[in-house]
Amino acid sequence: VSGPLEIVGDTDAPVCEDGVCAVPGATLDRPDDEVERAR
Amino acid sequence: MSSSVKVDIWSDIACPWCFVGKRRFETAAADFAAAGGELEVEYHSFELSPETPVDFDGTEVDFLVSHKHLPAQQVEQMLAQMTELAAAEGLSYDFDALQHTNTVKAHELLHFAKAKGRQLDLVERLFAAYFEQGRHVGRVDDLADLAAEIGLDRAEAVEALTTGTYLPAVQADKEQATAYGISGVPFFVIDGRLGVSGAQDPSVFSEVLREAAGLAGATS
Repeated sequence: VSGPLEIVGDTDAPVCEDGVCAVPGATLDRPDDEVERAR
Repeated sequence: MSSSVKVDIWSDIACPWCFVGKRRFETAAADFAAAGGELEVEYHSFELSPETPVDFDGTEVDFLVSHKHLPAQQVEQMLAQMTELAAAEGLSYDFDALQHTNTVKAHELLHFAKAKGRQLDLVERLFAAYFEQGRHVGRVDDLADLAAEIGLDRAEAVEALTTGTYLPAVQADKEQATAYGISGVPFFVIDGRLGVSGAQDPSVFSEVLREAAGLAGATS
């Protein structure tokens, strides 16, 4: 296990996280309680 | 340019941005290589939805609605836009044909392929199989077929997957991701010290590779 990384590049670049993928222009509305339930 | 750069990529097969990010990174990698740079690329396991059953009975929309509690209309919009974005990279995503599944066995197979020196070929094969060809990438037999299609020994692949030979390697990758603080993919680690999150524009990858090679600000 290495130490902390220096984060570089565009910090807003699209990723998939927790099974959901952010797509520019596509708004995903989840009530907060449902987000918690999903986790 | 003569510097060698190591790039470790955390991704999941069931990650549309990971395949797009792979294409964008490859564009930068080709430019880096053309300028004389040497790259070593290694893929690592990240499971976006480890709770997904191997045999999920439904579409991608069904999965995101039922498991992630997202509104169906917004999911359909999201997938349509993702399909367009992928097409811009030359990828033909087919979410209607896609078979949503658990990817842990696919990750085990990627470690098997790495041991055989064929990991990069299998990464490409699995992404295409999943997103473009509606192939199943969660079951042992289907994965063994895909392994055989790139020239790996099918029987050896079946044995490795059945016995879980590479499951510890998958777990080790996931632990390393946690240690790095990686919560989303794709995620690129350059020479073990620089972290690049997401499907960046190729120009960003190019600049980071030049920086890692000690050529920050240099033209390629």
